[in-house]
Amino acid sequence: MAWNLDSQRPIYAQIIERVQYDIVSGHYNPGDKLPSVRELACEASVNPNTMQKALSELEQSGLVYSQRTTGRFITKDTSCIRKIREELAKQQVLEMIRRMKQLGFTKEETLTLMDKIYEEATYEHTIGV
Amino acid sequence: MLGKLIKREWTSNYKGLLLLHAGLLLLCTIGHFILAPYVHSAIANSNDVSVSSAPYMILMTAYILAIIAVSFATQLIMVFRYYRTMYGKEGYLTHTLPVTPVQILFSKGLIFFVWYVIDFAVIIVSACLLFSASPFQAELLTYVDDLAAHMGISTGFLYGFVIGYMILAIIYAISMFYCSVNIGCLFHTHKIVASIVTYFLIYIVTQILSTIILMCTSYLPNVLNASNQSSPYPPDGFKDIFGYTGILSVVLCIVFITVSGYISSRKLNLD
Amino acid sequence: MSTLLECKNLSKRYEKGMALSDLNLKLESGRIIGLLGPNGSGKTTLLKLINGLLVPTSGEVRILGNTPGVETKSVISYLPDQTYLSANQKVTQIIDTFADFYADFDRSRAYHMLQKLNIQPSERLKTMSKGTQEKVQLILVMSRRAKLYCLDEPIAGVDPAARDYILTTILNNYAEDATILISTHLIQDIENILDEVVVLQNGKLKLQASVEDIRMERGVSIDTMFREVFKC
Repeated sequence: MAWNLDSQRPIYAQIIERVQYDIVSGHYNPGDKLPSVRELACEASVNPNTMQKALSELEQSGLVYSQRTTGRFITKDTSCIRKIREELAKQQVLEMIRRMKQLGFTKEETLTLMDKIYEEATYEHTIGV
Repeated sequence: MLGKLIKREWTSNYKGLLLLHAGLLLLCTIGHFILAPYVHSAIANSNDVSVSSAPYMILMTAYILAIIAVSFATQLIMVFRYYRTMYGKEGYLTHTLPVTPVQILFSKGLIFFVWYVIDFAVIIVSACLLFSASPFQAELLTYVDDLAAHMGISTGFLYGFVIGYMILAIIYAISMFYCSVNIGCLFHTHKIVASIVTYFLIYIVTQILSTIILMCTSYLPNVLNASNQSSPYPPDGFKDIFGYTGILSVVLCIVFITVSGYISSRKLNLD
Repeated sequence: MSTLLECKNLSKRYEKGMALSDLNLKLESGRIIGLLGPNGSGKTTLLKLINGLLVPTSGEVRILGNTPGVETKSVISYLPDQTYLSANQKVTQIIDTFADFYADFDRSRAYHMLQKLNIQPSERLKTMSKGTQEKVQLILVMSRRAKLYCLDEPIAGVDPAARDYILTTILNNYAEDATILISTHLIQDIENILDEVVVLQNGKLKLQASVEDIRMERGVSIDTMFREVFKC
């Protein structure tokens, strides 16, 4: 099944985000072997060169490393993963803050709303908390 | 590659054509038994007029028409295959195969040639069946010897010449067909009509050319020399006629083949 | 990466006008390239010139340094946008023909793809629907290990499920020394698998760029860009 990719933005950036997300969320564990470029490209239905570019950038950022003959692996460096996790979370929060501001919510109103929603959601098991 | 092309040409329609010719042979075998009584009685009694009777005439005409139809159909099928695989939809496949235009032309021409020969053989056998005759009768053979002697050549040479001329005639016919199709398909619309018209135009032009050559090389000189002749047949006239028009045929063959090759390689514009 | 295809001042004139005017184009190997443009922009003409089905009016086209001929036809696999196979033949016979003439034809790949798409090899083409015939033609073309694949509208007449399979097949056939040139109107469906696009208009090259560059610079998908550029 193809990944949900938005053609309006560069694909390689979205691939990077997706792989980061997969690593942080536990879909890939530290030290796991990644599928080959071709396999990933077919799975995502994207151009192999684009996939290669994304993976190269991930290598540069340290999240992924490659061994010449065996392929690409997720880093075992948990601090690196933690940093990415924080970065991704920060982006989500920033986005939410921006949106709430657009809706006219203050910081206090936002935090109060968040507490309320968390409780309700836990109670109703809506978001799997 | 050439072998593969030849195999492809042969396997594409050999079944249908074989069936057609086998059917004709079967038909003429039946015809043999139907017509034999008429022929035998005519041979037996010189006064017998059964061969000029209506039933015989009608039947014989029908059989002869069948032979002509099969021969015509064979040529039509082969020419149409050339058109379809060169300039029809299948042209996309033919012209993207890793082969040269010359190889394509040769393979098609070769199979067409083979079918001409098969067709000719079947016609001879069919005619013999219908006329209850054998092609190997002794009188015929001595007649051939006489003819050769009269013309001043050996019998072997005569046979060789006739076979050679027939081969030339077949190649001539095939190359003229193909050339007409190639020229006709230079037009963007109504390619089939254009090909047919081209064929007739080429036919007319070549007939005019060969008549001119005949006039200049045989007829006129012999008419001018008429007073010096004692025999009713112009000496060497036979050789002259076949000699010069034979050369014309060879030249025209070369022209047709060259034009076909040139158009199908340099001027190809597939829709 | 090396130059696979090069057009130098390539022009083609028809009675009704110039189908291609002075086209200068270079395509690298190892790319999946979209050939885009409105109807009549010269896409099919270009593909036919590459395959030697048309002769240029002027200029030249070279594939791996050769003008169209036996050498180029051995390494180019072409899918026209119409049926070009003899309808009377069975699929197995057509496969035999392809295997016979093309040394790079992979029989097992062909039969595997036929099986995946539920096509009976013993069937004759004329008994198949148009969509199925198109799938068969595509399978034959993609079963060759060619250096250049020229696909003219490979997914237009095919249902969406098969489209996905076909795109996956195209991706699977990617090789570093090969290039896949896809001419299509269905930009949305294929743009994610493209490296770059070549856009033609009125027989001229309007744009040649990497798709990711277009997304970064213009912030739009290729489909959106096309609609903007060619708004009626």
